[in-house]
Amino acid sequence: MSPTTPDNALPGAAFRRGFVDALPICLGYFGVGFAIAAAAVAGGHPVWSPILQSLTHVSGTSQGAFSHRAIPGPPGGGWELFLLCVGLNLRYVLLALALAQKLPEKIGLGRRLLAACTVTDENVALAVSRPFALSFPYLAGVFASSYLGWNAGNALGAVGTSLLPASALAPLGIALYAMFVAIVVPAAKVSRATMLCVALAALLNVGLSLLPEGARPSPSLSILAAGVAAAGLCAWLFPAAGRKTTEHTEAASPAPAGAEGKEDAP
Amino acid sequence: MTHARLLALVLAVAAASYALRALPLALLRRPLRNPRLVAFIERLPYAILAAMVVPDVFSSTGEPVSAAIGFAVALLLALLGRSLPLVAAAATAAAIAAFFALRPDPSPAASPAPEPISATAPEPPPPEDFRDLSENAARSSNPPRPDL
Repeated sequence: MSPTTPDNALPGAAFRRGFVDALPICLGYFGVGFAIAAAAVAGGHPVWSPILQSLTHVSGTSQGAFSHRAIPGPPGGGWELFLLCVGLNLRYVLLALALAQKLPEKIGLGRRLLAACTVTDENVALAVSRPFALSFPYLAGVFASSYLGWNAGNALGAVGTSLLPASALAPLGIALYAMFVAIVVPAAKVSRATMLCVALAALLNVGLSLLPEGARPSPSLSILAAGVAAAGLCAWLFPAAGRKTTEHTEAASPAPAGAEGKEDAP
Repeated sequence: MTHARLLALVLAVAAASYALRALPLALLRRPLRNPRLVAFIERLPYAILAAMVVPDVFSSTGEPVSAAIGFAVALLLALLGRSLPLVAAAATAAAIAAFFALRPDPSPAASPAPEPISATAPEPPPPEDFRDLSENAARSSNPPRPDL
């Protein structure tokens, strides 16, 4: 049986197919969203905060950074955290470009702007690995499925946590870091330059956190500085030369999450 | 920060996140060419994530040994290529098991907590590490370093 082309199928069928194809993502997002929202509320966030973030950011990494650092109470701060989230979400530029390669050319600006909502690591990995041309209804199905799982998880995590004692949730804080590990490690495995880059960033941040109290930057700033310095240095030393950017190779080959970096250190 | 400031920050990040997704789809019909720029954009998120994890992961449960166990489980499963939800669930389960297994006797003031789950050989932490559960929770949500 040849793969159905949702382009030629009825819009409803393409939507359903996208929805079903993304169900594993939906379930995964549900669990991770629950943990992130639970940790945020346990850490002092008002219940609306993780719910509004999950509805509008649709980004586990920046929401995780956010929940952990923007703790209501102490005054001041903000711009470093904003830059940190922008830095984390910079990868969406490349993911959106990868998705753009797979979209039908005739797709209009309005639908392109809507399709942008679908851009997350897992959704794009799924979309570009499909053996057929993508259609707008198919993407809408992928979006509906993953968005539902993500927000349901966040809402339940946020509300449920407010009913539980914070002490029962202390060890949940690690779920977020485990998620980050699960995103970083596959990317570091396929590229030695990326591995060097992430190791350097972690080392720099440890170094900054060991500075004496007065000379130490705030955690957000220190993470941002370590990340920018490591990525900048590694980009200078090992440009992504061996690779034809996001052109045909990426659209043609299944791209597991975080496999954008296929280049290797020279 | 105040709740108003938190709300403003949430909305600002929402706008920026959407712009990062939409602008390439709307404006750039051709892929980026500059190899250094591509390398930077590609690796910056991973670099920031790595810096977020290390060293803060070790204070993520409020108790370093259980956090280190969870971190090790996450690294191992991720190296084996397991999926993100599985890595997150397994690491959390391991950290929770270790957390309650290694925990000293709860003080009577602490809320009723589950019994030790795991059969891991308990290594009682040194007495100065003793903290009751609520203090652990407070520590995990407010890392030792001053926050924003």
